[in-house]
Amino acid sequence: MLGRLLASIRKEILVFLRDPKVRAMLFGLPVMQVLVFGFAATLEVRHVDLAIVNDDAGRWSREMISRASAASFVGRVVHLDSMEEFSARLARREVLLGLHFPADFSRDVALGRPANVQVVIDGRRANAGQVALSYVTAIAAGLGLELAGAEPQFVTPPQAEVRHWFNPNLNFRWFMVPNLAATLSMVIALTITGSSISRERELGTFDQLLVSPSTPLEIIVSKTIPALLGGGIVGVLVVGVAMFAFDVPFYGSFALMFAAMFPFVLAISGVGLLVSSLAGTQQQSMLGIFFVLSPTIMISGFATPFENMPQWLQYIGQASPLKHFLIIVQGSFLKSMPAADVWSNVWPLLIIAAVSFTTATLVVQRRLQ
Amino acid sequence: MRRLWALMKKESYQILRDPAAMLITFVLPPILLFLFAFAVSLDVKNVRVGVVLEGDGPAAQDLAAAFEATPYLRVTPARHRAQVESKLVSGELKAFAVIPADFEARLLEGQGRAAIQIVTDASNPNTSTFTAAYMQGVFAGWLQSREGAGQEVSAIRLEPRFWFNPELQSRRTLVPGAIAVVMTMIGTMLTALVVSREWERGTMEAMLATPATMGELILSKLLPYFFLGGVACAGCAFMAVQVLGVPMVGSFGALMLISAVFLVPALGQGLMISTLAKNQLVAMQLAVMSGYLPSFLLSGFVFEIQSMPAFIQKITYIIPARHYVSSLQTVFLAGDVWPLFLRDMASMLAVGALFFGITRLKSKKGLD
Repeated sequence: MLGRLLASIRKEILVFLRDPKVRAMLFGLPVMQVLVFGFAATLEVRHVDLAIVNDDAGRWSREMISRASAASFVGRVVHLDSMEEFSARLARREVLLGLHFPADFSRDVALGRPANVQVVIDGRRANAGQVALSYVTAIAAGLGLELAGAEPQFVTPPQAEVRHWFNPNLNFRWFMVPNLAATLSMVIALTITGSSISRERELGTFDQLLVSPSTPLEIIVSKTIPALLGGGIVGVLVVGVAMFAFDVPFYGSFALMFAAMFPFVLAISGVGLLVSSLAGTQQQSMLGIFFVLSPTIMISGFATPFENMPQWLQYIGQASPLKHFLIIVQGSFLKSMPAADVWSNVWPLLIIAAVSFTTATLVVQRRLQ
Repeated sequence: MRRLWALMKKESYQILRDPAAMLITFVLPPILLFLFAFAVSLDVKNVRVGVVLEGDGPAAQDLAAAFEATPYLRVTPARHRAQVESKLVSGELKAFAVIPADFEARLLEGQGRAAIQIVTDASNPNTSTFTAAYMQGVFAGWLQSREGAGQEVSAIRLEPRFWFNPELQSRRTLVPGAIAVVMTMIGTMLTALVVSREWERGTMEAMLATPATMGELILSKLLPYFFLGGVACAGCAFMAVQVLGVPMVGSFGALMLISAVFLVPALGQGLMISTLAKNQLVAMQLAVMSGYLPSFLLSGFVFEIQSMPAFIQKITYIIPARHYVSSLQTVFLAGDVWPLFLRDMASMLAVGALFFGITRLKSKKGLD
């Protein structure tokens, strides 16, 4: 019985590793992906184009413009003569934002009156615009503080000191690249299991499998092993890329994280096998996998916080294995999460795995009869 | 011409019969649009934060009450830092504010001295920035209400205006972007999968042996998806405007024209992938990795393209969705800006020509 199981596991692994295109796709693509998306996926704002419309001839607008131009979030600075020209440029997405200094800006500053600056931002790029606005606000506040030192009529209020734990420089890659490790290992495990049963069915070999002495449970187990290996290897590879190519620190416990990766890939494989056992053809199963994949990623907190979703969507989100594993991965990389916190995210994975495997085995069993 | 029509009819029946293709074309798009409107949100609301009240002074208690009264924060009160620090590690809290025992003394001192401390969980840097800014805002608002209005706090006052999206709803920019994702799914992924299956099963060779020319065969495969894409686009636009509350400032005609032009490179990419892969599993992976994911991550609707490293910015130029998203957001939010549309459409056609060119080169070789 064990020998039979081992033989079918061996067969399943060989099926996947035989094709060089499949090998390249399994291990080459994820590394490439994490490199491209790791660099691309950032919500930081750098090198954006800034337009200046200056109706003021005084020194304070010039001072503020030179500070803004030197800031790292600004790429190109475009000086424009009128707001009409500016609005045309903004509509064509040639600049992200513009500063408009009215004619009495420097005079107001000199007189000790609050001086107004219009900041016009492209709302189509709402997120980048908001971040850029916060940078402009900091520049204005900095200049304002210096003026307050010189001019006694301005009072500086007490401040709130801000500390960012776990990622003090707010490096977005420290967030994104570990997330990609979890997500890519999920994509691979889902793809492998998703096409496994339906492929046999399409080729007609599934009937052979059913008349063989293998039990449905053995079929399911042997079809899970390649996914566990593939998902695990990709996970380890991408964690390596995160640490060595992106210098993301790893403060937690490797043993804990990789131990948690096992129930994660198991839960994913269960979902993949379930879809595969339901689909009639390979194509259907792949589209089915895709149908499951995109919403699962979106409600997992991959790019935006889980807690921002409406409450009822958060309940649904509990069924996404990625949601639980993302907490473990982020916690292990940056927060050195203790075992108790890891466990509280592992048991939901075990439940998902149990439910999906039972259903998949039942579906296969039904086909057997 | 009649031959082409007959082939197209055959392909269309094949699509309509396939439940999985129907699922991707008609069920997944509304789900995706809906999720982009409600699930993917960068707006800070209901953030769980802790407030550590170390002293018992009246001002300190008043500030703690101000944090609790804020509708966007869900406050967990505490008396010692240790009570909230472990909750930051487990993710239960996203940030906490410490109101120190000598808060009153620090307040009187003024002149830029730190009166409270805000600690955030920066494992998600974006949320932590927004949360910190929000909590600072609560503190500043509390200060102002205490000291009474009329006192100027800064010499320079910014007047921010967000054009095209004055209330800054992330939904308004994300939903048009989601349409690009949907169209990529239909144009690139479905096509890649369907045509690669023909290669895998050998039916493509069988078709090539018929009197139909290569051009006719390809056209008959692509045109049904072209119409499917058009239908899906109109459906998505309807849902975006009627259900999700996205305005439609530009014209519907412009939207359909841009979408039709986008389908040229999208279908070209699908065809190219299937010709290169000739295997469904590989074609699916390639389509997801080079079509679907880039339409998300490299098209500029979630992540700002100008902030990416220079070599990745160059890659984005051959992502059709990048040009499509730019025009889509404009037609929904800003109106018909034809110079922008023409530029984007020209880019999409150029990318399409590249994809079809590569396919032509490769498929000639394949037939020898």
